[in-house]
Amino acid sequence: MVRHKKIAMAMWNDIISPVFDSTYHVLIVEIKDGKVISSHCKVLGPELPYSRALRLSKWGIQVLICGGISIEFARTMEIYGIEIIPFITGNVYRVLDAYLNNTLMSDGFFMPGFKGGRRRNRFRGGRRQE
Amino acid sequence: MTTEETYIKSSNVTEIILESISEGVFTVDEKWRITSFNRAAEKITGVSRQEAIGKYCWDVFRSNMCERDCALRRTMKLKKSIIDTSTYIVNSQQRRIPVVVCTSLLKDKNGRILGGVETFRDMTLVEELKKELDARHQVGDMISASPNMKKIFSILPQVAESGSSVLIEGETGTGKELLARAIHDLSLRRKNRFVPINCAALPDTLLESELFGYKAGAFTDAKKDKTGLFLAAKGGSIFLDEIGEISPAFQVRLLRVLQDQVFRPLGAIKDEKTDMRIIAATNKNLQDLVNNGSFREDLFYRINVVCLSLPPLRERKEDIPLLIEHFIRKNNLLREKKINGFSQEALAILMSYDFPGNIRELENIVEHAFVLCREGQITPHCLPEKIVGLTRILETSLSVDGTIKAMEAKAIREALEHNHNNRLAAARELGMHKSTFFRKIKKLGIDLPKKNGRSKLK
Repeated sequence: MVRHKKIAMAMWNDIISPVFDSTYHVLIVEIKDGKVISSHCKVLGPELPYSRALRLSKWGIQVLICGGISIEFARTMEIYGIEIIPFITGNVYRVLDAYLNNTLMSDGFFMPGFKGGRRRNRFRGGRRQE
Repeated sequence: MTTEETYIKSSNVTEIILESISEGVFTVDEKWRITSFNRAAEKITGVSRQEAIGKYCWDVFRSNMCERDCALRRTMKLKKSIIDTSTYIVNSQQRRIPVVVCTSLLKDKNGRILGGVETFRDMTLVEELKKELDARHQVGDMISASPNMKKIFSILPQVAESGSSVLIEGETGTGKELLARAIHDLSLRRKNRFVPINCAALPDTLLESELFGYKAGAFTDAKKDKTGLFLAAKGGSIFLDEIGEISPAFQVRLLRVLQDQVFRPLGAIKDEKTDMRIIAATNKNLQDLVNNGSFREDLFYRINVVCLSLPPLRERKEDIPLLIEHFIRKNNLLREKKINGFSQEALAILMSYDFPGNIRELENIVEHAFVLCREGQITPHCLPEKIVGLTRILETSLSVDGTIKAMEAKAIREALEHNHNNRLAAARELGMHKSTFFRKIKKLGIDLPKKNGRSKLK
């Protein structure tokens, strides 16, 4: 169960944005004991990886759920201690439910072509329960 | 062969062609789901055809255009093809791939719209080659293709390695600090600090405490020790900008530091040793200041071991397109825009402008244009009115000048005709001296008839 976390979800309309580098909105969700206690949308401007990472870090984001993300952005987020769950696709609220239920990995939310790899090892929020 | 057989055969040929080309091609239906995906598309995106078919195009293509500026969406809406849009995609290895995209409508043989087709070309190699080409015109953050600047670039490594003091001369905005940084970065001191300070920005007393530092109790508000920049630059380089502005009294103190390589912080009783390289810069002619007695000659010779003069932008206009390209790339990255460049007219305006603020002014102009222009090319409308207005005045004055010349030439020709080609009589008719008349003929390029009408008039 997700205890207390603040997550950001890159959002385009009501789906996960295809490219985090150029996304304009994030849904900020605060979770406590597996339940959403608050959520609101924030607008992002065009910015370099460092500025965006700094912004999310100032908002207290611990986890970022996004679609495609370039290595430059991903590394900078990691430097700021933000865990990334990349290459996710689908309706934002369904993705959020799956994240809360630890079924994000098993429910086919990954974008085509995603092979996992290095970042998959960092993925903790949605690990399937044994 | 029946028509149907011919059609089947031609579709096979199309498929073979699509599979063999290096451009990625995919098609979508009206619900944006991928219906075909060629081999090159697999290679560029890192997504297999099997995985791509049936998926939403944005999940597979992952371009920065998808959210707000999808070319395929525009094609479907406007019912027309869009050619050569530059963008980037994020492939399955999380690499940004620069691509150029073309989109068209996909129709069946009856003209019914089935969806859209998108072709895309991997521009990674082109971009890398571009970078290599740029590197030939680049030292540090300085970009130039002008012969004068290239001379500076060619001697810069030796200058940097020498460790000698350097004086950089140049108008405001010519990149004196960038050159100083490049010298530091190429020198053996590059691992230590580069400390820039503008001597004109501070009054003498503040400049002194900034550079020399002070001890607690040295003056009323000196509560604790302050390390001066001379000490902070230990092992590195100090950049003294606008050195021509320092007072004669301060020049003496600076001279001592340069000569003896020691300095004494305010309130201290012991000297501190310095280990720094001095790079000074000025937008004035220091030799003139020496000649009129406002700058010490001994200090001048101490800092003027190697002198580098940066030419103003108006004397190296060949750099304008290069610099524009550099600033466009920088702003595209910063502002997530897709500006391709300047239109011919806008570039012509910039090429005819004198840039009193030099490269800094050009950078501001590009930034101004980015605020007003969303995509495509920057046109004259996006340039500051001040520059466009100046060009208009110039054009008007040029055209007025041209009209006057044409009228003068016409009057001279008519006067010659009236006077049967007698030059002296024509000059008299026009009320001008013969030497003025001949000067005007030469200036206006009027061909005089070989036969002079002098004899006829007599």
